[in-house]
Amino acid sequence: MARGAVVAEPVKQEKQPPRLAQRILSLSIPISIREQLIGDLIEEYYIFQAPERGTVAADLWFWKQTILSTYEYLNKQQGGIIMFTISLFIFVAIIALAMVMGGELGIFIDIPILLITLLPAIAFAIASTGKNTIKASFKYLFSEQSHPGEASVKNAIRFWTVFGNTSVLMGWILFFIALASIGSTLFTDPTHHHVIASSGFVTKSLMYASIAKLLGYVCSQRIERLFSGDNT
Amino acid sequence: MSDKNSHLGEFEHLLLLALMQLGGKSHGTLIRHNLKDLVNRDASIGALYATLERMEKKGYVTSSVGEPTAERGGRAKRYFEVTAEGKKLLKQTKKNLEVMWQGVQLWQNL
Repeated sequence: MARGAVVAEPVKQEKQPPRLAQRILSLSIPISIREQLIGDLIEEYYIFQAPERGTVAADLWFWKQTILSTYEYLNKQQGGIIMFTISLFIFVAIIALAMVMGGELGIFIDIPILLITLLPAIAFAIASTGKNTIKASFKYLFSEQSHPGEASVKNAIRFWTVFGNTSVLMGWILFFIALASIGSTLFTDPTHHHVIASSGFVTKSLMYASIAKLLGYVCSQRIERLFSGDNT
Repeated sequence: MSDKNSHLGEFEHLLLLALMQLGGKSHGTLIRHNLKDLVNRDASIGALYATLERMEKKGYVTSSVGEPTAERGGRAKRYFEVTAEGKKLLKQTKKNLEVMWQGVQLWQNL
């Protein structure tokens, strides 16, 4: 129903259509057609189903319509969320598989380097958008309901963009630091232990930075697509 | 918009014809009953609305919201109507089907 429309008083009937089913429909059907769709079902319940087939059969019919309609719209609306979640899962699984194939998972996980690479990226992303944006930035990835407002959506997109870009820049800064460090000790350290350690450090930081950049790009693109109106 | 690449799915085709049969503006309950009575198609109201919404985006139907009525629990009706674009596509679909049916003698294959 259009906002602000006058709501007519419902006719008092002895038997109402199942209230739980109506509640489920209210939660699953898009707001743009919710009132009209439920109204059609109630009209058919009172005019055709209950008088012709009895209230038990009419209730069953109402439930059947509720389940089919809910499935129709949840499938349509939540399909993108399911696909996004599956894509993230596959991405993480492939990265983990590549790490296992490259040796063992443990040698690719280095918490201090991960923090050095990602913490500045998170801090800059918050600084450029505001701390309240973090929650919204994650929420919008899994939300296809109503448009939260242009400014809020732009902030969430900016959050993921700054996060990804800063991660990559941090990766390159760490790369140059390691390079300078290797250069200064190359001829003074005959064992080259420092070179080997720095190489591992820079490789991991660039790897984390690339993964963060990819995630930032995918998340910003998803939010942009969801709320730009180009999600047909 | 309809161009030479536009085509109607089977359910879209049936829905547009149901709207034409009912004449003028029709709402979900009547459209559902028309399909059930004439071609024994018991579509869910959700499938019906999803398809009509899709066709509205394509420009084949338009919709408008009526006043809330008491017998519908105080809820309004959404009236659907075929647009000129929708009628043009229906006509083209009919023509295509007639061409494809020419020379087909189904009983020989039964």
